[in-house]
Amino acid sequence: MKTVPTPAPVPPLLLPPLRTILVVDDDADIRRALRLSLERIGGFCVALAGSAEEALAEASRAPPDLVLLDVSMPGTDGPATLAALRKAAGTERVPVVFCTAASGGQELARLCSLGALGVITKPFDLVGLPDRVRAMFAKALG
Amino acid sequence: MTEAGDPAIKALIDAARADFARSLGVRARALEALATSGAWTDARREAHKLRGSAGVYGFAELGVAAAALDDSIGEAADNAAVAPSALALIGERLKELIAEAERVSRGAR
Repeated sequence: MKTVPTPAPVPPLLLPPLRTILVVDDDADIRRALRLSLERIGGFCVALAGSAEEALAEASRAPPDLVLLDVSMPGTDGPATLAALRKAAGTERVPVVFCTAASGGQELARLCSLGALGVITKPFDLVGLPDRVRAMFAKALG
Repeated sequence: MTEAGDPAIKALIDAARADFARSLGVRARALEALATSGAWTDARREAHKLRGSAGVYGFAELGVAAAALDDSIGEAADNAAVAPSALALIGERLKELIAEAERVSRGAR
């Protein structure tokens, strides 16, 4: 009796790698902490921006694989910066993760509803943060 | 990529933590000056920043004190005029934050 060969398993979808992260936060201490965490521990290439304007200029110059975006910034805040990224050529689809000191469930749900991959609340663990960011990125593409 | 247990990473984290701690005395006094002068928006922004950064650098109690001050200024600012009772609460929370910031800052020297 002829046996039907078992088809080979379909290889997992090759995900684009997460290599470059643009960190946007008006607080220099947070930018320093995130660079230390994501670059030295996580191995990512990290660009920094201290405002929405700097973020848009940097993202336009060198579109990152992901943006880690503070919510509460003077002038143009995080949600408005996300909206501006979505309208700008080259950054319409860049994944964004919000970073906030707010912790209320309603606020976190609101931020996610704006189209972000997720929200990281401050304080965050410097050592564990890179894996959390990888997981959010992978989940969004899965 | 560097392993999190790497002594070099620990040294970097410790150095960043020490730098942050050393800056706290000055920052707390600056925040006090803002609150005293009635610059509530700026005072709240500074308290909000500390709320986030203090915990990141491992100073949880300072983060709690900053969160309490951030919230009390926020609640007071919702009203057109800051009520005396709200001012008193802000004053208390500011003192707690300054005391904690100075304690941490002294420990870093």
